[in-house]
Amino acid sequence: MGGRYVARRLGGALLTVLAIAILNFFLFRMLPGDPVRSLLPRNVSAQEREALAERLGLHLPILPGVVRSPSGAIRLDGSTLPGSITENQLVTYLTGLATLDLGLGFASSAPVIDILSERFWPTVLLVGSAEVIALIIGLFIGIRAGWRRGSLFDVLAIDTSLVLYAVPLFWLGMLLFYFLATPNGIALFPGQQMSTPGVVFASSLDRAIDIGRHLVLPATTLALGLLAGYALIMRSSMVEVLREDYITTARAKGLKDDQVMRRHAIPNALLPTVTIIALTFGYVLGGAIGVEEVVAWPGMGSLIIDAVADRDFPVLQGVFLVIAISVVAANLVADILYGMLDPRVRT
Amino acid sequence: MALLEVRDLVVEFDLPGGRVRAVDGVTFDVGTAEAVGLVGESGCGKTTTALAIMRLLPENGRIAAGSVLFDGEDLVAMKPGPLRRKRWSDLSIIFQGAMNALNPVRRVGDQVAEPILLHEPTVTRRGAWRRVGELFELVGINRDRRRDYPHQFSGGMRQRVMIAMALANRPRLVIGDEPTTALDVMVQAQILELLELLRSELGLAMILITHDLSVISETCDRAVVMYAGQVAETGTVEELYRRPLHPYTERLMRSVPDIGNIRRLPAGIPGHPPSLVRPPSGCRFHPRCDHAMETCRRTFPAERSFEPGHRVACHAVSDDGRRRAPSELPLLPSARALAQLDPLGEMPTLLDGAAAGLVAADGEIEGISAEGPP
Amino acid sequence: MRSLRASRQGTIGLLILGVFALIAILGPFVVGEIDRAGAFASLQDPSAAHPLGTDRAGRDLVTLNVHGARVSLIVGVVASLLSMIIGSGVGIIAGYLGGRVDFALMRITDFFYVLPTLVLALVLAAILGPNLLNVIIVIGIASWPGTARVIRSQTLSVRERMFVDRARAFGSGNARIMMRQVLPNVFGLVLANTTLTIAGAIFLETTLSFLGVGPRDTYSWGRILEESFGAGALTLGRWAWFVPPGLAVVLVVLAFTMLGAAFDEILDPRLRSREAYSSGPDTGVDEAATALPGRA
Repeated sequence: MGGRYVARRLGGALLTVLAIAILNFFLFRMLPGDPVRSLLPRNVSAQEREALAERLGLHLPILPGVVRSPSGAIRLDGSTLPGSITENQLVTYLTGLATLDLGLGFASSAPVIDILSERFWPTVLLVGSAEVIALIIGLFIGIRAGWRRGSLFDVLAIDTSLVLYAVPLFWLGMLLFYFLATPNGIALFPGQQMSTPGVVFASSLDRAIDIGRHLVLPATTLALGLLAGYALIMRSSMVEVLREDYITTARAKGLKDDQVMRRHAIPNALLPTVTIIALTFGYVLGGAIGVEEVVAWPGMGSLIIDAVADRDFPVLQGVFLVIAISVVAANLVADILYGMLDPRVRT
Repeated sequence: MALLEVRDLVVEFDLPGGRVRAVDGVTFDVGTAEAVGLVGESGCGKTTTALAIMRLLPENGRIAAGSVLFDGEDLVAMKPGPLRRKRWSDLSIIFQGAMNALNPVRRVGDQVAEPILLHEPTVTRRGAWRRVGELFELVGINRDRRRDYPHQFSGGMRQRVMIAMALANRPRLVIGDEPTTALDVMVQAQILELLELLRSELGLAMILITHDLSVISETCDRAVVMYAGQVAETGTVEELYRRPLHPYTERLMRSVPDIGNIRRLPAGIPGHPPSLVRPPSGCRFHPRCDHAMETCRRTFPAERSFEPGHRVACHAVSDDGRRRAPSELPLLPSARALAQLDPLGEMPTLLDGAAAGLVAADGEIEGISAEGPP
Repeated sequence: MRSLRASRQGTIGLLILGVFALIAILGPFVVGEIDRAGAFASLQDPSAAHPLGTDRAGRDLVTLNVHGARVSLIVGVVASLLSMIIGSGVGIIAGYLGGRVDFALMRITDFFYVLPTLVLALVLAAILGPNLLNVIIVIGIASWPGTARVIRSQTLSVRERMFVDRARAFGSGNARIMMRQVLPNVFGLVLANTTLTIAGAIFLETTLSFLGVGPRDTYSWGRILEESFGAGALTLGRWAWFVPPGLAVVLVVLAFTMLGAAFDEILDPRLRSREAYSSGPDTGVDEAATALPGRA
């Protein structure tokens, strides 16, 4: 498939990432009231706060010629030029990004980049497994419901999906936790964290199984919420596609129902579905945050909550960046996938 | 016994507004290597008849009565398995507007090869691909384009792909549903020429569905004129032109612009085709007919045959095969108004009618409703 | 209105919302103010005196939930109003003016659309502070892109129509045309979209509150959930504490979704006319399925 197509998409994605990085900067440094200072930890002395502020480069002008007065207001100060053209917070920030130096976290004083990488993979595991399950089941249901439109299966599928889609995922997590992980229901699964604490495992396999057991509850919760959306989209896609003339043509040629479905209906119905799946990736991450919080899964989601509670702004900034970039990456993958599926966009 | 015999076909649809008989007792034959045209205004049931013959009706439609005999076997009664085997290998269809009739995400060569591989299991992929190449050449497409996608073709070329696909299994009957409607005139001519060529070379039988009479005159031997789900008249194209018996047929023939006579605009047929949910009583054309009598409103005219192979369902036709003039008939008031407006032979225009206050702005004749008797 | 009632979905949605609106508006007068801490024994089971029991601080949960209804609904409605105004404004301007303005506005919109809403909302809420007003602003800012896109495409099709050209021929200024001609025609879609936006806003507020950045000065359903979770209601078996607020959110969001689908069905001629010749029995579920609200 056209390398130019991929290159164009990649270029767009990189631009978006840059835009996100800059947005990230403004989010934290340009809002009125000097939020950065307000996000500094409260439980330290004034001197320590100032030292922290200086370490974060908060004493520098924000942009060339733009400073923040002690009262917190933003104003122009020409006297800082021309020095501030190269010595300002934006430059510090961007160079830091380029070298993957995201600063040190407030709470732990560990490099943010290390904190992030430690929490990154658990979320990938959770979201990944949930997506896979949701896709397989959701698409299957959607296809079947769309094919047999108006049938009992269809009506049930839609009604169930609509209800599921209205359920806050964290609450669903709470319900599942209550009924499957506490004595109040049947304690089938461990409810907390990613692995049983304080246990040494005989082998990697044992450890993997343990993680797996802990994964079931949160992954199922996420998957349930996702598959509802996927089923609905796939179904309406199928219904639209089945109205098309080429489906009648396929039937006229003497193809059997499942042949028509596999060769003609599904490939076309998948197109808008892929787009929607990509667009709702943000929703997945949002759901993951809530679910991770409920089961104390040590991923990016619970990290962001902790960071908000601790007012740990470097971590917050870093997480925002990583999550936003993940979404862009997911969209890029979806774009490329779409290009592989639909020849019309390639030319 | 003809290749295709349609007998008293009735097709019903379930619509939110009620049950509709889109096709109500249609009978006609198609002989081997014969080209029969199916003519009529939009909504008269031509396409539905075609879909019914191929048993391709949508979910809310069904064949309520009648039979479709192909080579003696009734397609209506056939089970799904044997029916699927017959599809495409014996009869195929070219849909209206090939825009959407081809799968946009598959190569055209694959789509044309698909029925070959499906119905002839002994053919290899390579063999099928080769045959696709031959078919493309037959219809005038470059062989190299087999790997292209539908969106890379123009409308006319896409139609050729459809034709190639329809011929893939060397069927005995091809149904063309408005095969040239979406195309411009030049391309139209080419496609028709192609169809005619293929018919003579391959000995194909064809049903050509169209509302365009010039198409019929060029390619068909016989024609079936449909109105509101029923057959008005059947006969050779020549007969229908020279001696149209049904008033509707005559108006249809006259509505083709005559390039020789630039001053005269075509007459058109005042009024609209009727709703099929509650069709007019008796003969369905009577509200728009200038030969309409009381009996036309009461009873549906039985079909009568005249030589040579000329059939018509009309009360105004006498037993010796002549249509009586309006002046000879006890006309209904509506018919009288119409006769006044546009006596056959004079051809004033609709504009004259409007000036005379007889035709409303939307084409409705004053004082007449197409819905049937009040 | 009659056609709304004709839609079975719309009716159910309207009914549910009616009930909750009643609870939200009149409820607090019926149950009184939220109890102060220690008013009753903490963590009581449901009983005649306290149909849902009490929370850890000894407050009656029914009272809390009723007040929660008011807060959740108000935040949802006001926040989506904000989002609708911004979104419609951007959408109409972009759609009507076209060209570079359209391009620029759409780039910005797409950018925000792609950002995970909840994350953006979380960060904004953390920065601005957890009070009612801020939460409303945050949700409004996080939600407008969805509306903008929808309104823009509708504006594009409205622009094609002739009367807009006629107005322009008369010399009406752009702003005037946008207000007088475009807006009324887009209004129906705005309405349908609003219901879905409200659903999303309530959803978002509940999640934000649960995660700890919701309004601290009032009680919404999300806040009740947050407190129940923090107090260990799950392990303590206090289902009456965390189940009702969540259930309430589900019902309200569902109701708005159904209402939005009903609006879609009524207002979208394309959807209706397609049923004409090639459909099966009209189960009414199609419309619901095709209208998926944007979610955080």
